[in-house]
Amino acid sequence: MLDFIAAFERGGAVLWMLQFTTLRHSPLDAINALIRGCLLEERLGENTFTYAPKSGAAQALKWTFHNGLGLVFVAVYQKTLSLLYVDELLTAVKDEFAGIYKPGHRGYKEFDDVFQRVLREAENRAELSKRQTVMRTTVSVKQNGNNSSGQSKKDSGGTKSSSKAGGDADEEDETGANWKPGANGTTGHASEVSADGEDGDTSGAEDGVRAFDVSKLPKGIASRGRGVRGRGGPAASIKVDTSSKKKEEVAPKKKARNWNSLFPSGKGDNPDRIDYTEEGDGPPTASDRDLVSGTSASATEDEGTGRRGAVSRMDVDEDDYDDDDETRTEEVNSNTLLGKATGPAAAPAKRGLLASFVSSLKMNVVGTSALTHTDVEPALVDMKRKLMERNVAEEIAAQVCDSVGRRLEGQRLASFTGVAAFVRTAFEEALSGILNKRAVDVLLDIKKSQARGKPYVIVFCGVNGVGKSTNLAKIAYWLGGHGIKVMIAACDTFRAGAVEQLKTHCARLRVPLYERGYEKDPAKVAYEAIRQAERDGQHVVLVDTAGRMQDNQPLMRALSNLIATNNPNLVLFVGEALVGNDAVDQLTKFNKALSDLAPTAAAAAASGATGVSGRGDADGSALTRRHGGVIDGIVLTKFDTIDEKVGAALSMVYTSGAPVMFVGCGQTYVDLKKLNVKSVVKSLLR
Amino acid sequence: MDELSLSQPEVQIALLVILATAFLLLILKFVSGSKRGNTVLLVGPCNGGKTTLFYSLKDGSTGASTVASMQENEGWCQVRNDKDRVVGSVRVMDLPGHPRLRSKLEHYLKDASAVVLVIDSADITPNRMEAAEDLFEVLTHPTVARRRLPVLLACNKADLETQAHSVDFCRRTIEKQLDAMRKTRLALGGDAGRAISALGKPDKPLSLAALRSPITAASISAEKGDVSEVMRFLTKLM
Repeated sequence: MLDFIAAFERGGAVLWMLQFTTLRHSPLDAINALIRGCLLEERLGENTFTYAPKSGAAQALKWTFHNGLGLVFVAVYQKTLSLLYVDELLTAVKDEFAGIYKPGHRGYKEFDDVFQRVLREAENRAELSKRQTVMRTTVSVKQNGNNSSGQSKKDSGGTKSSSKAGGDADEEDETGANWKPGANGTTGHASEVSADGEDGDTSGAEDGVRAFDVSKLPKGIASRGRGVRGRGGPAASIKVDTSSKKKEEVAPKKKARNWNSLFPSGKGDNPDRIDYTEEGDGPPTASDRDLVSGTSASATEDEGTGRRGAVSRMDVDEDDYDDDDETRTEEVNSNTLLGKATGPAAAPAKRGLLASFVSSLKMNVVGTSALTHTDVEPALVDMKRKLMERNVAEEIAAQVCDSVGRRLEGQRLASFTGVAAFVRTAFEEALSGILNKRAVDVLLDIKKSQARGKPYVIVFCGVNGVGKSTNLAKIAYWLGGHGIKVMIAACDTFRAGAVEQLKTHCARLRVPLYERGYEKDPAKVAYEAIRQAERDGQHVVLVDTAGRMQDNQPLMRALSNLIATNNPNLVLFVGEALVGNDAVDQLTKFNKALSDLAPTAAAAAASGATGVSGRGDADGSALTRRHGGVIDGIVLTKFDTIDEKVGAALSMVYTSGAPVMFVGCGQTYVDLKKLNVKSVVKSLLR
Repeated sequence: MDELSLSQPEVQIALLVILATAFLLLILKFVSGSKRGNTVLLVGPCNGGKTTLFYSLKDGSTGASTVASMQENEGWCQVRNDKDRVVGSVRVMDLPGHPRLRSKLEHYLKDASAVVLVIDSADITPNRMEAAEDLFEVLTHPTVARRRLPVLLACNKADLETQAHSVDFCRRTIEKQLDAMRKTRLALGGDAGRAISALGKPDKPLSLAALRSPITAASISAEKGDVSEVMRFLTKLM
């Protein structure tokens, strides 16, 4: 039975609620967790949310919106029960409540009776339909002799999809099975499909309540079975090798790069200067610009000429968007307003230019009808295509479009706005919301750790070849420019030349390196490095790890062991901006692997007191771990190689819930900057 | 070609139209409110009690529960002075505290006439970073710095007597946080367009009373309806 049901406004006032059982925690905690974890995170596509209170069993929450009036209806019940009637109940409650709602009024005690009636009706309906399905399944089970997998709903759903889906999902799952390099060694098609089904449920909510909806299945399963899994191991590294080889072939044809623009000697193209093995000048010294006086005038004027003591681009504010880009977007908007079937409004052109003109004109002038699904559908489809063209992962684009669509249904257009413009503003808000995350103020946290006398540990992890060591050096340069003593720990004990690469960077940056050579346990090297840093009074330890594929279980275990043993203040995932659909897979698998072997919540809380201040928000709720992930921030690299295909940023942030803290945009030490959310959103929607 | 002279009817009509338009515009400007905006913003970290305070100010209703706001609330509040007489009304806007919706703060600060920062005095230590960041953004906003908008630091939840910290403690905590933030943000130098100088010179410790915008701190309890301090603050605006 239900625990709790409530109706509240989007502004926060609770209009009506009914509590069925008394629990130790306030039921509003569950609703707050829902809002913070799901509704505001643009995950409206999922329809159940699980809340695990500190005392008591886990609860499941279902919700529905009334967008026209700005109301939300939430039902909370025990997760272990599977109540089938909750969805219909919520819809019925929504309709009834919309009838009696008066804006500004806050108590609706009379609704209790109405609700009891609706509840009884829903329960009766559920009973009837359950009896019918029981009869139907007993008949079908007798017929289906090859139902070899177990009795759990997931497996039966899997076989249903493999036998019923007819065509797409079936064939592609088979090819997915062929492609797998035999790592898992699973037998039986049905169990493989169900394994894919489990992966498809990355949202985490075990949907035991609803019957397995096949129509929702193919998108996630199809792409996963064919594209991502199969391309796992050898193919990705081959891709990286060919790209690097191509760069070598092209390089001689290009003009030799002038590295001297950064250095004080400033002679002509002197090929000796490219040789980095000698001692360098290091980052601008602390006396030039330290944290207290903030006299950065000399540094900023030098940035323009790019000469002596070059400042990292992190510390320079980028100009906001150009004016001509502004006017271009405004032109597009005005075109759609006038009903010209170009750009976003091109999809309805299938219905005929005149029809689309008339209908869009109708929306313009008579702006009182509520939006229906069919009205926003073409605009949503177009938006999804546009996002995918900008390199957003396919499922992320689908989820974002879905959640924005749900938010738009039932809303009323203001007069003289077209559907496309309205959808576009909704998307802008949604995307800005996703990308605008409260980033950890690294400098502040470092100072706090300094005060406590402990080094601030940052670990860089990621797949092969994304630029961990390069960006680690850039961050060391940036920190050095702020007068922070940095030490680098070479925990990449696998790749040939990794330690030498870091030695070269350290020589240039005048930064100590802690290394123990190759073939050593990275966790131990990191541990000793941190002890050494504490003894030497270093402020920050940057730990470089070896690149590893997200599917490689033993390596992922080694990484989570490193993180669990050393408990770093900040875990940064380094991802390249060129990645496509794989971004989602990488981040989910990294998060999952790291949290599976992460310290338990109690241990984390204890260590939280001793200075692990960079981890998660301190709001005490069950979401301090940002969607159950251990990754605290993302470093987006190779940003200069993409012009406007900036979608990887969105995919990564959406999947992991972590903010993009640094953006690497070049090969030199100063090419590190902050993510400019406005320009990314504009590029995505252009 | 005739000479244009005031005796001609066309010229007279044209002049009349120009004068009328100018007159109308002047009237509109006065009618639409004083030169500053007339909105009071309620800002602060999540779970501080902003929405409760909003409803308490709007119609004095207390005791209704609230959940985390996803959207801003807007309403009019009757300002009563100490003798409980209505001296005016002011538009109050309650902004969500969730970090995802922080962009709205920038948007509404442009038309604000005062800001109330609502913090949870019982739970201040975990939330002090967020509260300090909100205060930082408010104080360094060009409009706020230029117009020296008054800011009230409302330490809410004073009804939880044993757990609620005193106003002094809350104020000092926020001051310390703001001081630390000021140093790091100044060094970054990346906040173009922000009037960081509004926070005073970095070599002296920050004191809220010594800043350009007058900042007062008070203790209130929105749930019990004890919002007299906020009323006093609003009366001073009138």
